[in-house]
Amino acid sequence: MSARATAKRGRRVSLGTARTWFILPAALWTLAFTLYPLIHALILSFQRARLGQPVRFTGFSNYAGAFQDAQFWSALSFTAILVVVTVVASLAVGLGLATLVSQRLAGRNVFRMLFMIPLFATPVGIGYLAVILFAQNGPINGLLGWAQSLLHLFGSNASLAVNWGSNPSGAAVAVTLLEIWRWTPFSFLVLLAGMQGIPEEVYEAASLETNNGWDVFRFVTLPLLRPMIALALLLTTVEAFKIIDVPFAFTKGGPGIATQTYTMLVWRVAFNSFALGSAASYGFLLLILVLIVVNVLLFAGRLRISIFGED
Amino acid sequence: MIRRRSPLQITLFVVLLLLGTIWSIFPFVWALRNSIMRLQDTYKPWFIPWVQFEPTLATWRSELSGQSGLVSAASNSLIVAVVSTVLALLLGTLAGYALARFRYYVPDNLNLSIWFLSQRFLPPAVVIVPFLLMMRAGCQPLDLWGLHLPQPLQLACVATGSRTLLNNLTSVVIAHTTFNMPFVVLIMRSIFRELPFELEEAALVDGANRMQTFWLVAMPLAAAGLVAAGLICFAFSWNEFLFALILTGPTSQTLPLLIGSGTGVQGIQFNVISVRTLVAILPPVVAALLAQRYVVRGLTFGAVKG
Repeated sequence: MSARATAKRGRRVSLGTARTWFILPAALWTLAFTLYPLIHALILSFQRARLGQPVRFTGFSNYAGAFQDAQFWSALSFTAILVVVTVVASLAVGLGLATLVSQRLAGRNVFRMLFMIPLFATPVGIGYLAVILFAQNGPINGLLGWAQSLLHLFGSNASLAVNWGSNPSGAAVAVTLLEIWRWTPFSFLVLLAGMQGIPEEVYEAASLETNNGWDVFRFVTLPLLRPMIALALLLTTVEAFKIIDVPFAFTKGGPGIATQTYTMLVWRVAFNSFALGSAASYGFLLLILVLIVVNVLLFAGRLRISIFGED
Repeated sequence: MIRRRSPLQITLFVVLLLLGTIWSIFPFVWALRNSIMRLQDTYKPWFIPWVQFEPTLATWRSELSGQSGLVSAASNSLIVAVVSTVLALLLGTLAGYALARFRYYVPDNLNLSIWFLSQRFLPPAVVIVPFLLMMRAGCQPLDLWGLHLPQPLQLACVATGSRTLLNNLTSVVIAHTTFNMPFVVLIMRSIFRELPFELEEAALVDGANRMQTFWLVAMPLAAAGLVAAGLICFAFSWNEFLFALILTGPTSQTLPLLIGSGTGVQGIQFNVISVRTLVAILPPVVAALLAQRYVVRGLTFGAVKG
């Protein structure tokens, strides 16, 4: 069969072995540096493995140990709360910003650029900037000080300044705020793209029915955005489970272990306590959790993973 | 929306946009302020240079002079980001093109795409330990039941002339390539799918083989997307912290690690941190702004065209 005749039958024609050579390098790389470490981690998680000591098979004792470890539960609950609050709040703020920028206005692209900056700024750098921003006499407490004097005018005696560094809940709130700030551009960009994809005719039709902007937003924009919202939710959730750098730089997980994220804990178990087997089992527990959450979100969001690869 | 707006609505709109702008860039403005202050001034609520305080470039000068480690960490970061981006583009573009143009059966195209996607879902915490062990043993042959089998990482050792891959930029390059490559596969796949096949078909009819068609016809058409994907990979790699933390040593520190160790002996110096952070933040932000048109597509792995 001539190349032309083959080509006519469809876009994806495979000629001989060419298709193998195109995908082989990436496939081999993946096998070597993703699949192999993953299998090795699974094996390690059933072993007592410490650097420089002989390896011993110990069954499920690493996993059992994890469930008895107070640090495990503390890191898990902090991470879970951090993920939920960060994802929901960044989605809400991102939706607000996207609504603003999707209006007809001059310099729309400038605002789009400004609003996306936090997502690409080096996270460790953000963590260190946060040390400055949340310092005892830093700008955030300065702002709270103004709010406080404003409240005094109305007769309230509330004290608003917080010692962010040494107060466990203060530190947790500060870390959460930073993560919300960092992930807002993600939802913003995705939802803005979604809003700009809604045809003008839809709004024209809606304007015949109602004059109320809020109703249009609630009954037209939001339902049409639903797939985008689900997508942003899924992808930010996955990323939020990986958080380590901002709190690492900002609070070092402290005070105590109040802001120790799960990834930070795994790192500490592996490289401070040198318990490599335990670290691998902690890692696998996170993987299982992420798999469950991703599948629940895919199901609940009526998203199919194949939207990334529809064929 | 076509309705006319009242002056009140317009005012509200402008105020909200201003608030959004402050929300997005205030930390950087504050860092800029600190970076041109003397250390003892950084505790003051001053804001306007020349009026409230005397600006100075002393911190910038001493940090950029090369003695502070900032310059060497930044050049390490640059090397890692550029090399891993090129590698990821090379591997990923080939596979992305393959997924867009060929049909596979076992595993099929959809499963291959999902396999690449799921690598981005994998929490890095799972693989840091085996990755470290692999890099530590990197220059030795594989010990399999007493057999010493040569393994491909030894090539990297020979190529870089080093005896271990730990405390060495090679291991970081490998790690960053590994997490950037699936990203390139998915974004390039979505870009190639939008290109008309007819041009490639014409080249095939004229006797070009698949590789020639790819390099000479498809790649030039996809160049803009390729550059954008590269810029986003560069930003990811430049910002990456966890793998750099476990794989680098004092001489191979990347910029996030230098900042991470930045408290120094005299406690936290706000002006120094501000300069270092601004130097770190600038390249990835510029890269992302240059890649604007493809940012949404990249972030959603091709699911949203943006």
